[in-house]
Amino acid sequence: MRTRRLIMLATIVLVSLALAAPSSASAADEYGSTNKWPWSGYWWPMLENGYNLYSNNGPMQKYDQYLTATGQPAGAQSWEKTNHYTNDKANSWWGHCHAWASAAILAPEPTAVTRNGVSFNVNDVKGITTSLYYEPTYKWLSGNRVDDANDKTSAAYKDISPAWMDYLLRYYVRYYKYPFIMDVNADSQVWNYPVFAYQRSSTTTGNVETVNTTVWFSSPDWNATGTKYFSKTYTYSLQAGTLGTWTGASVSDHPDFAWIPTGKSAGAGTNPLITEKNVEAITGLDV
Amino acid sequence: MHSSRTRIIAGIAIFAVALGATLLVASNRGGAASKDSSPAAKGAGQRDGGTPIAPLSIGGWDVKIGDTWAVNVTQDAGGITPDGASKLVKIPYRFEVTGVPGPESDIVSMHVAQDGAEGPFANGWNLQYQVKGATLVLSTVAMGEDKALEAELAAIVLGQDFPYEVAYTKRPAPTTTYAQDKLIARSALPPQQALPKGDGSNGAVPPSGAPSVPPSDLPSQM
Repeated sequence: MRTRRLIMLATIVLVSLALAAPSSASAADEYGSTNKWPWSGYWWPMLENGYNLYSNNGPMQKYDQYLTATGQPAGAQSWEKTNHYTNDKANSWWGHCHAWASAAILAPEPTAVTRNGVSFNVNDVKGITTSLYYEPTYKWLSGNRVDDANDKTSAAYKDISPAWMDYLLRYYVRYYKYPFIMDVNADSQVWNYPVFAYQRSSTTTGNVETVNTTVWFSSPDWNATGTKYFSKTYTYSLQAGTLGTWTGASVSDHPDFAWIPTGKSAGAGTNPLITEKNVEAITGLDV
Repeated sequence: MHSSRTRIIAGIAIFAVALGATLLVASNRGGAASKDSSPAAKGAGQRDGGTPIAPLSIGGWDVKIGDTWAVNVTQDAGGITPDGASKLVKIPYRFEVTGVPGPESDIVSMHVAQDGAEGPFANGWNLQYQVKGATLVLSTVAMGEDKALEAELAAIVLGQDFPYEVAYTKRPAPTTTYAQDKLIARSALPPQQALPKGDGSNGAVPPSGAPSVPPSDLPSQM
């Protein structure tokens, strides 16, 4: 009799606790992936490191050899050295990541080829294709760029807002199955990488959703074929009516801004010797 | 029992009644001259029988299907390059009126194509403007033939700020920078203050409604 009373009491306590606890629900994992994963290529720094577009035996020198072999005036290598060069080590991160990321999304992946007696390895063909997209036409998606290296507190530093990163992943990668680009550094350095997949899991307590999202980016690798990649995991909370809050390590390690390339332009920043016609003739691709 | 002659007469009579009813319904059908915002809708601004619709007049511009103009937009690649050095280039956006209001519509449809656009952007954008007095107010934007989004959302998820509220005082010049400030400025539609609405209430396909890919389609964890 006493045992039965104890069991009944324990049951009542447990049910009461369950009812009194805040509502909590786990959302199922969600996965998104684009139809085409942007190809890996190199980011071609401006600071001389032996792996530059203007390096001897590099993409521009071979392109010049092709120009000469086809009776066209050369000068791509010297133009590149004059216009896309820095000797300031503080700017060691300056390069062509934005151009590679654009080319990786919009252009088919080039492969090594020999044209008119000039052997272009995979870095060379990806280098000249990347150069075509130095000034891509683009649409700004969200976030304010941070240019002050000491800025760790401004609204620009705190964005891209979690709500918008979350939405863009779902909208582009999951719904459209189309990649976009994010600068992964919250601070003043700019490192643009194509986004092509994510995994998202969350729990909801009350009206706050606690989210853990892993995002996959194509990586800028040397001698790469296909898609090499890396991932970053972001944590944040979302609440209706707000732009969300970064949490944990993501407070200081989150994307700065997002954009999407829509094409290429022939602006003054693009090497004028690198033409679509020649790149197509060399790669055999419609770029 | 009917004779075959009676059946033929009855068949002809039924056919005639059906044909008449169809024509009656067709002649009474109103609505926008062209709600189809695709370029293929060009020339749809006529009612049955080829009667042209009176042009919509906004300010001094008689808006007609097929009206075209280009807006040269200055873009600064310095926004995305690591060195941030300003690099300005003019990019033409080519507008074409593809639909004008009919008796039951106040929508002007336009197609916009960007010079040099590639991939899915090569199909341009389809815009719908609502006529409000002497102004056109952007209501929806669709990328190519995709589902249209409300303008506020499109300004962010499509990254495109088209002229939002424009009081045309004359027909746009063939090439102009008339609306450039509205194309590149975000003052009319502040994206940073806007909130995403994933429930579809603003025209977006709810992202959560899109199917997940199987986990095996993801890259392996690193």
